[in-house]
Amino acid sequence: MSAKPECHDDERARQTWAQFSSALQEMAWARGDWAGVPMPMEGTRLRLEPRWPNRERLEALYLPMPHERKEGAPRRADRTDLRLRNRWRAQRLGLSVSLYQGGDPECPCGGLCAAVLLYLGSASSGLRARMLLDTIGAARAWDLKAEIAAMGKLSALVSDWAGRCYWLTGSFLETSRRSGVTYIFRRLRPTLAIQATADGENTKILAALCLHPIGYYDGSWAGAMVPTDDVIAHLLLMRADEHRFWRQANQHTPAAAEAGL
Amino acid sequence: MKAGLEILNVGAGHRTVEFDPENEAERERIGAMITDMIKRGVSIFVEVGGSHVRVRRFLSQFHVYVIDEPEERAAREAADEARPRGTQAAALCHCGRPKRHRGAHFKAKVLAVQRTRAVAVARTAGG
Repeated sequence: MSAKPECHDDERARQTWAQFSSALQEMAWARGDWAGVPMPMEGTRLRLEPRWPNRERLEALYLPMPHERKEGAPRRADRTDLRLRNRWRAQRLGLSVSLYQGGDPECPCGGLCAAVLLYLGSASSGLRARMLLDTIGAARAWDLKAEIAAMGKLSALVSDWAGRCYWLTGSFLETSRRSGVTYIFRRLRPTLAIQATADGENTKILAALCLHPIGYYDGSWAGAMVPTDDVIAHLLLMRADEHRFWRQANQHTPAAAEAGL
Repeated sequence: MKAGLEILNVGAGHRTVEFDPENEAERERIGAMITDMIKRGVSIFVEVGGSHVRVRRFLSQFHVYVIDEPEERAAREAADEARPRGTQAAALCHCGRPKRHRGAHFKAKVLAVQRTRAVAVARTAGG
C-alpha cells in the first residue's frame, strides 16, 4: 500500500554490495590472489602497487557519484589523459605544486601547449577536509567484521598497553630497537616517525610515512584493506625491515595535508 | 601462541591457513601456496624472539622458512649505523663483492613452517 521507507532500500543495496564483495573475495582466493581484490568505490579512483595484476584496468575503473551520473554533469576524474609526474610543497608560499604531463598530440602546436600543466593548489584546511570526507566515504568498501578481526590480530602483536591505547584512541607508540626512532601508528593516518632533538628536551617529527598493502583510494587516507590491516603492515615492516619501510612509504612532511596532522 | 600462517586480506581482515603437518597432501598444498606468495611479492614475517623478521626464502622441499641469522643481522645493522653516510661497507662478502650486494650470502637460519607463527602482507604502495 505505502512505499517502503528509503532506509530499507539503502539497507538492501548495502547487503547486496557486501555480498558482491564477499563473493569477489572468495573468487580471488580460489585463483590465488591471496590478499583479495580491492573494491572500486564511487567517486574515487584506486591507486595500486605498480606490479599488481590488472592494475591498469582497476585504476581506470571510475564509478561516478549519483550526482555525476546526469548527462553533462562535471566529473572529478574526467581527465584521465593527464599523468601526475611530480608534486611538492612550496613551504614559503603555502602552496602545493603539482606537475602533470599529458595533452592532445593532435593539437597544431604538437601537444606542447598542454604537455605540462602546473597546478598550484593551496595546501589549506580545505584539502584536509576533502581528504577526511573521502576517507569516511571509503568506509563503504570495508567489512566491519574484517576490521574487528584485524584489531584482534593487532592486539596479539603489541603489548597490552599499546593494544589498549589503540582500541581507545586509534593510535599507539612503539620505539624501534634498531634506530631508536619512535613511531606513532595511527588508524587511517600515516605513521609518524619522531625522534628526540639533540638537546634531548624536545621531539621532532621526521616524516609521516604513508603506505598501504595493495593500494589506496586516491585523495584519501583510506587503503584497500581495512584500516587496522594497514597499521599491522606498518608495524611488521618497521619491526622486520625498517629500511624497507622508509623506502616503500611515501614520506610526507608534517605540514602537508597528506600527513594528516 | 599457535603456529600457522595468517594472510592480511581485503575481505576478511586476515585469513588463517591451518594444516595438518602429518598429512603429505596438505603439506604440499601449503608449500605450493607459500611458494606462490613469495613469487607474487608477498612479504612473510615470522615471529622470532618476541620480534618479527622477514622471510628471505622458502624451501618447499624441506618445508622451512629461511631467515637471516638474528645475531649476524644485529651485528650488520650495528655496523651500518656506525658507518658514515654515503660510504660503502669496508668488509667484503666471501664471494669478493661488497658485503651488501644483491642476493648477498648471509648466515641463515631455518624455521619449520608447522612450528612458526607467520603473517603475510601483500605488496605495498606508498600513499
